Amino acid sequence: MDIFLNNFIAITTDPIAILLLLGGVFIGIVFGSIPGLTATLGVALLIPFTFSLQPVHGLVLLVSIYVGGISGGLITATLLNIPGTPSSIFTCFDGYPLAKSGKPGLALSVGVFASLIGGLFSALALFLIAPQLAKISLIFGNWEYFSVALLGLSIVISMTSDDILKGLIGAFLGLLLGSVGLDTITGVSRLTFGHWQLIGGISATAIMMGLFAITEIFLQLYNMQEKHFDIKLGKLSFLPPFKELKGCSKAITIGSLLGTAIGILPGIGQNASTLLAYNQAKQLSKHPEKFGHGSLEGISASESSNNAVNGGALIPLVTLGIPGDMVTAALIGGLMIHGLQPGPLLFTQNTSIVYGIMIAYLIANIVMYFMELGMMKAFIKLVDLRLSLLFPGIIASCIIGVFALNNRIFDIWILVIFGITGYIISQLGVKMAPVILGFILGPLIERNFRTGMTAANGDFMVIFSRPIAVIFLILAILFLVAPYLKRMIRPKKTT
Amino acid sequence: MKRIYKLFAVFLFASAILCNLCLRAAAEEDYPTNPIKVIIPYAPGGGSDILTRTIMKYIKLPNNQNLVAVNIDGAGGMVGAMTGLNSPNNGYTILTHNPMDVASYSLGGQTSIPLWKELQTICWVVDDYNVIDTNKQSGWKTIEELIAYAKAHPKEVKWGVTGAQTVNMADTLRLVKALGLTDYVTIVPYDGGAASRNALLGNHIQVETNSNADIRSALESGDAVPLLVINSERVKSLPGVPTTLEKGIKVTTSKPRGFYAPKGTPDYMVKTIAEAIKTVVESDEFINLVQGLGWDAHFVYAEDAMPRVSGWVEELSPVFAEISDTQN
Repeated sequence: MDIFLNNFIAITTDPIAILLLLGGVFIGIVFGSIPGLTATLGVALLIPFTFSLQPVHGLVLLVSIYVGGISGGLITATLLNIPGTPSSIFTCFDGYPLAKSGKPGLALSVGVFASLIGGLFSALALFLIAPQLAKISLIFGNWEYFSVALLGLSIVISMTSDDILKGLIGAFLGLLLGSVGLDTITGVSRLTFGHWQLIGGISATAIMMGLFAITEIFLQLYNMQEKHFDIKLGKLSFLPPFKELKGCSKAITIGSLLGTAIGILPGIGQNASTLLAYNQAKQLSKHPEKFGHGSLEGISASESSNNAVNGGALIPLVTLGIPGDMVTAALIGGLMIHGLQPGPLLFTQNTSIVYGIMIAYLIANIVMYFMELGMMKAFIKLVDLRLSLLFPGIIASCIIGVFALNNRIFDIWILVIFGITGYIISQLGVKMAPVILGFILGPLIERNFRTGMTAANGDFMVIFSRPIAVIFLILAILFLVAPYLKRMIRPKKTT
Repeated sequence: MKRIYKLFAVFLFASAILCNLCLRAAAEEDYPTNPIKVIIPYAPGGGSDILTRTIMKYIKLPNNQNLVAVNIDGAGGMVGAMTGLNSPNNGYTILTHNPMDVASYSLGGQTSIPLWKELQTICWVVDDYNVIDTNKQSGWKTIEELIAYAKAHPKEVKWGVTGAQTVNMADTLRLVKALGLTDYVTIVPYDGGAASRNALLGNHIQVETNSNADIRSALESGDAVPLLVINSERVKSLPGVPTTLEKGIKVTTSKPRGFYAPKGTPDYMVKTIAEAIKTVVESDEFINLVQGLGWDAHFVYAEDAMPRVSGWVEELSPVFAEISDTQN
């Protein structure tokens, strides 16, 4: 506790650190809220800048951008149905319908509050039990990752229970797209058609921004004559709307818990973690059928889990030096450039650095809450433009963002091609969520399954010697057959 | 009159040639006049990124010009390498890469272009080494203990390697064969050094072939135990660990990091960049900094680097052929 207080005081009395923290959260929210400019890009662009700062200052800046960026994504997700950052994809499903029905202010304040709780919860886990939790991340081997990812994919059936065939078409399309590129187990190129540009696979950010931002713009252009709904925010107080939040406490708790737990696993990554946490929170809700129709629970689950994933990902980073996603990998770079070895010794030997990261994460979450609500009016003014002005701007930011992330013109083509593809398949009634599910989880399932099989000399039965994997596997099978079981039981009840 | 015209024409012609020569000389002296783009074939924040940015920080190029980093990640560095290959050879785009990875892409059949020859080597800057290490849980302290255990418990020991069609894999297969363990251990390919190290720390594998820089922190904390270094001589950061050559095994491929230019980049440009990098690499500040990160600063000119790469490629070609044979 003394270490905590000392470092807390050290950071809060350091004007440069405070300035970087405020600036970082601001930059993060801006990057997060503009579609195409992602939290990852914000961090990637500022890494070189942090190399010239003191280690603690550099890390404070990066952590703040990370926190601001992940939560900033909900603004355009709610107001325009376009996720500002890929981790807010699920906020669209409930935030936009709610905003359309005249409650954008409520949707936003619930979302921001859920972000805060998710962030604070994972910060708490980070402070209190990081070393113990980090051990879990090492217990997870290929079979555990395989079955967790399979559990995530099994949700596709219940997710698309209204039209299972189209849901499966979407999921298979995603799986196919996810298998493009160099196969890491054998080194063979797959579905690249001899073109080296495809050897690295398809960029996740480009495809997600194509399917969700560009496609959505096409869809809205189709209905351009219809009047754009008025964004009337009404009074937005800094106090959370407690009355409405009553029904969301469970969703927020589950979102925070699962987000933190899945975020700890370094083999999963930011996008897949958010996806898994949200889907499980939905499964565990009392009213999963309301998700996707303007449910406050949906917004709470999505926003609490994506922020909790951040804190979770910081746990193996500070205790073991293991990065969970691109942002935490960048933080490791921030340590190494100053000659610090990220690893188990960092936690005991460089406490000021480790606590710097943790305290910055905690404060950044609180700053994010107030800053995001405080700036909401300005954001809404920006978004409340004529669509003929707004859409070209968003397309431009998507192009810039997708290019800047990996400096490749090729990724812009991916963005455009999948923007058009997304429009066509959505007109055919295929939803985007299963496509993304397959695209992100497919490679995770395949890689871990095959590595596991190689290590076991081809004996799948080895999985039964791993209890955690077996539990997830059983759950996955249950989720797969649950919709069918329900259907089998229901007609009997009615007749 | 005609003669005057003729004379005038000759004069013009001569002056044009002279001017051209002058300009060319001026151009040679005047390189670079713009910032030079360096392609880093990995995401920002990784080892290669930091190494390159450290060089960028200290480098002094003529005309006060700078290097500008452009990260192009994908397919274990191959997308960046191919982008470098296809960039204009005007001296304003260069590439930083790991020569043995560059050789892997061609040897492993991911491209039919012999990249290690088609990219013009500028220089090498640091050496990294593959280390055979185990975890705390196994209790082994020497390679002999590992051999004894593996032979007594066939197929129980799992050996992680970074990549499938890589020099790391080829060297591991050669080494395992030389140790007489081919039928006793299971080789498991991992997607990168971090994934393999995590699997080792969680005891999902018991041995791995990984680069010194990637396992540095785990070695320092004692969570990983070094058994053998793949090199011909002992490594500064691991003085107590025997090398393959000491054990009589002729697998000594090291893992240098280098700079490349697209083929056909004028020699004087390559030289200008090489000299500027040499000054940085030989400075004490740089030497100390990279040693902390697990590398040995070691500047090598292209003309000394090429024969070594060719030698390794020749040695490794049959091993790669064997790998793809067993896969088919």
